[in-house]
Amino acid sequence: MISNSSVYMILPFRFMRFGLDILIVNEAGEYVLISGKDFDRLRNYQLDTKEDVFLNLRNKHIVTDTDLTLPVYLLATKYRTKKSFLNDFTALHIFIITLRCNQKCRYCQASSEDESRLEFDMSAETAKKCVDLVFRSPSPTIKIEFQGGEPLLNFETVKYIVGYAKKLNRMYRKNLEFVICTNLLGLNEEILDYLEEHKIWVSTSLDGPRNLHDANRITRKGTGTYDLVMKNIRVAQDKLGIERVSALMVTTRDNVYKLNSVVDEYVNQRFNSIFIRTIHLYGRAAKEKLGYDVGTFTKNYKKTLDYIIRLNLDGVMLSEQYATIILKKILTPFATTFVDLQSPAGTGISCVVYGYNGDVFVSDEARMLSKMGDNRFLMGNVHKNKYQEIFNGRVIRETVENSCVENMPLCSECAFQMYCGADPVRNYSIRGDLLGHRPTSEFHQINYLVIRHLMELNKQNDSDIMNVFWSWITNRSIEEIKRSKRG
Amino acid sequence: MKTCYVFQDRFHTSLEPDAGSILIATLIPKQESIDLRDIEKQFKDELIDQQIRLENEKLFSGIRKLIVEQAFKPITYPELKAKIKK
Repeated sequence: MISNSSVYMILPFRFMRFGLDILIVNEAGEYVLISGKDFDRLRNYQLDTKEDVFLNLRNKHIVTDTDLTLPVYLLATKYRTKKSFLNDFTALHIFIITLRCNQKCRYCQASSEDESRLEFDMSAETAKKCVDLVFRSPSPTIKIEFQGGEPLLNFETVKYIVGYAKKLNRMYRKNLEFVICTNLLGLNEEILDYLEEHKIWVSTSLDGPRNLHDANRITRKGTGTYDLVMKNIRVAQDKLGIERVSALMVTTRDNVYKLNSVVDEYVNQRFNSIFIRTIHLYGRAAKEKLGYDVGTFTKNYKKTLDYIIRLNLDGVMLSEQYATIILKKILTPFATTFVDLQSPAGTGISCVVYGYNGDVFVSDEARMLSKMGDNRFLMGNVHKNKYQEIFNGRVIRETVENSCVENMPLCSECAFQMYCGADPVRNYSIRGDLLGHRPTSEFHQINYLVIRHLMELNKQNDSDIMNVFWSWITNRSIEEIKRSKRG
Repeated sequence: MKTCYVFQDRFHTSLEPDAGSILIATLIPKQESIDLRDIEKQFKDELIDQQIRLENEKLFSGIRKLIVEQAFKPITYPELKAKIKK
C-alpha cells in the first residue's frame, strides 16, 4: 500500500459520522464532507495530491502539501476572527430598571413585584454608578438594554441613564445603542416621542395569536394582554419604524405544537424576524410546569423552520434567528454576538446584568439564582466594589474557565465545537457544577440536534433553501441574493 | 471511558478491568423502552472514533496549540516559519 506521508501533512481537525459520510471541521469551523472510504485514505496518507478530495481538503486547511507555516498562519487568522467577540469585553449591559411589573406571566423568571413596591426601583444614584462602570468596559461597542420587571414603570430612571450615558460618551466616543425590553402596556405618546428622539430600539414580547399569547402573558389581575399589546406594537412601528421594533417569543408547552400559528402572527404584525426560543425553567416557569422534552421541541422546531423557509420562498421576508446565528457560524468566517453560543460563554464577558440595587451578575439567570438565595454568580455591587474587583474577580474568572468548550468533556472533540457554546449558569442550576453533564444536558442536546439539522440542509445544497439561508445571514432579499450570484 | 460517557444519556455505564489488558464496559438502560438493537454497533463505532480522536490528539495537539497561540499572540510570518522549523 502506497503511503504519501512524505508528500502531505494532516492538520488538526474534528470529525463525526454523518450518515454514510464523515463530517470534518477544521480549527476555524470550515467543514467538508467526505466518504468513509476517503476518510480512511486521508488518515492512511493514501490520497493523491492531484485528486479532488485532496484539493478540497487542502482548501479547507485539513491537509497541506507545502510548508506548514502558511496554513498555520491562515488558520490562526481565521480562528482570531471567529473569536473576535472577545474584543467586545463587555458589549451588552442589561439594566434591571425595576422589579415592578404590570404583568404576571406564568413563565416569568424574573420574580416580578407588585406595581406599588417602589422600593424595587433602580435609583438615579445606583444608575449613575452602573453607567460609570459601563464606560470602563474596553469594548468599542456598548449596548445598554433596559429590562425589568417592566422598565416603563420606572421611565424616569431610563431617561436619566440615557442622558448620562450620552454625556459620558461625548468623551468615550463608543458606538452606543439603547434597547428597551417592554411589554408595551404602559406605552404613551410622551414615551414614544422620547424613544424616537433618542433612537431607542424596542424589543417586546409576542407569544402568538390571542389564545397562545394570553395563555401565559397576563396582567396581575389575570386578564389577557393581547389586544393592548397588538395596538401598541402597531403604534410603535408607525412612529419608530418597523425595523426598530422587534419581538421575542417563548416556547412553552402551550405553543410548542402550534409554532406555525406563532409564525403567522409575526408575519401579520409585520415583524421580519422570529426567534424560536426554548423556555428557561427558572422561577415561576418551573413551578407552572411549562416545559417539554428535547424531542418535542426539536421535532416542532424543524417543522416550523421548514414552514418559515417555504414562506420566504413565497415572498415573505421572515428570518428565524436561532438558525441564522448557527448558519452564520457554519457558513461565514465571522463571529456572532449571541452569548449562549460562545466559547468561553458570554456570561460576564459579553453580557452583564445590573440589578435594581446595583448588584452585578453574569447573566439574568444568575440574578434569578440570587433571588432564590444563591449568590454563586454575583460579581459584586456597584456601591461596594471597583471595576477591577467586579470584572477581574473570582466569579468571572471561574465562569470563563469553566465554559470553554475546547476543554469540556464531549465538546472538546465534537465536530460542532466551533458552532456551539456553554451555559455555566444553567449547568450549575441543574447539576450544581459549572461544567455540567453533556450527555444529559437539554441545552447540549437541543443545540446538537438543531446544528445537525442545519448541517443536513447544507449538505442537501438545495439552491432555493440556500438562497433563503443567505438572505437571513446577509439580511437581504432572496432576489438580491440571486442577483449577486449571477454577478 | 470517553465512549461510555457518550452513552450516558440512555445508559448507566461502568468500566471495569478484566484479566490482562481487557476492559469490560457494562451498559444498563435507564428506561425499558430504549431500543437496544443497534447499540452494540453504535458502541463499536464510537469506540473506533474515540480511538482515532486520541491518535489525532497525539499527532496534532502541538499544531493546534500553535494556531491558538498565533491567533492571540501573533508573531510575524518569518518568525512563525522559524518557530515551526525548530
